[in-house]
Amino acid sequence: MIFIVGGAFSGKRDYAEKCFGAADFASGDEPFDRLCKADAVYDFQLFAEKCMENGLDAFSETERLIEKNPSVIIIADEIGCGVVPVEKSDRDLRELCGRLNCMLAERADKVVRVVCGIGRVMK
Amino acid sequence: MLVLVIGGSGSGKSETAENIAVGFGGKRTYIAAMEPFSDEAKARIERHRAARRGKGFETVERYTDVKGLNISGTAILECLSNLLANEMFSAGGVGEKAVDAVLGGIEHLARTCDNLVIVTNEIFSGDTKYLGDTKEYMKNLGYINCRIAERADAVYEVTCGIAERIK
Repeated sequence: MIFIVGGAFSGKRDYAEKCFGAADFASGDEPFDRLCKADAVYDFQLFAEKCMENGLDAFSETERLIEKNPSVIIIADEIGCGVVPVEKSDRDLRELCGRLNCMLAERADKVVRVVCGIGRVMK
Repeated sequence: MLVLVIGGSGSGKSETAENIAVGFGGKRTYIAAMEPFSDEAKARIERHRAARRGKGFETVERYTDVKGLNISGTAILECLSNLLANEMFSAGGVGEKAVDAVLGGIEHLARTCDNLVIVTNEIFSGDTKYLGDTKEYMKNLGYINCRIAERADAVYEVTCGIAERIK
C-alpha cells in the first residue's frame, strides 16, 4: 500500500498517475466493493466521514480495505492545519482523519507528501 | 530562472523570495499584487515595504493584467493568492478567465525577466468543506501552483522562516 497525503488541489492524483501508474481512481465515499478493485482511492477523508456516519470503526474498515486491496494507493487531503472547527462533529472528523493518516503512514510501504504537484517521499 | 516560493501565512516566504532575488543581482523589481483596500491591507503593505527597504527593489503595484507589464532583470511577483483573487473577484479582473490570465501573465513575465521569483500561499491544508466561490478559488490556485511548479527551475517550501528546496 502506498499513502499519498497533501493539501487539497495540490496535484496528488496526477502524482499517483504519473509516478505509480494509477489509472482507476475511486472516491473514498464510493461503495466498499468498488474501493477494493480500484488502483487508487482518493478523498480518503470521505471514507472516514462515511464510517463515522454509519457508526463503523474507520480503523478496522481501513484495515479490511488494505487486506482486500493490498496494492491500493490511498490518497488523503491534509485537513488538520486550519482553525479548530466550531461544530463538534467536524472536530471529531478532523481528529479521526489525522489519526487515520498516522495509521496509514505506519501501514504503508511508501508515504509521499505532495506540495504543488511535487512529491517528497517521507517513508 | 523561474522560482516558486510557497508557505503559510507569516511563514517568512516573502523574506525568502527577497533573499533569492537579491542573490540574482542586477535590476530588481517588486510586483505588488495586494490592493490597499483596507487599513489592514495598508499596514501589511507598509510592513513589507519596510522589510524590503535597502534591498534595492523598485516597487510596481499591479493588481490585475500582469501581461501588460514591461519588466526586465530580476522580479518578484507577490503574491499569486492576491493576483488570482483580484482577477476572479475584483471589478478590474477577468472573472471566469482568471486562471488563463494569471498563467498567461506569468508566462509573459518569465520570458521578459531574466529571473522571476513568484510567491504563493499554502491555503490547502485546513477544512475541505468549502463551497462555491471559495472552493473554486482554492481549486484555481492549486491548479496554478502545480503548473508553475512544473515549469519552475526551483521550488521552495517555507516553514517557520526555514526554506526547503523541494525542486
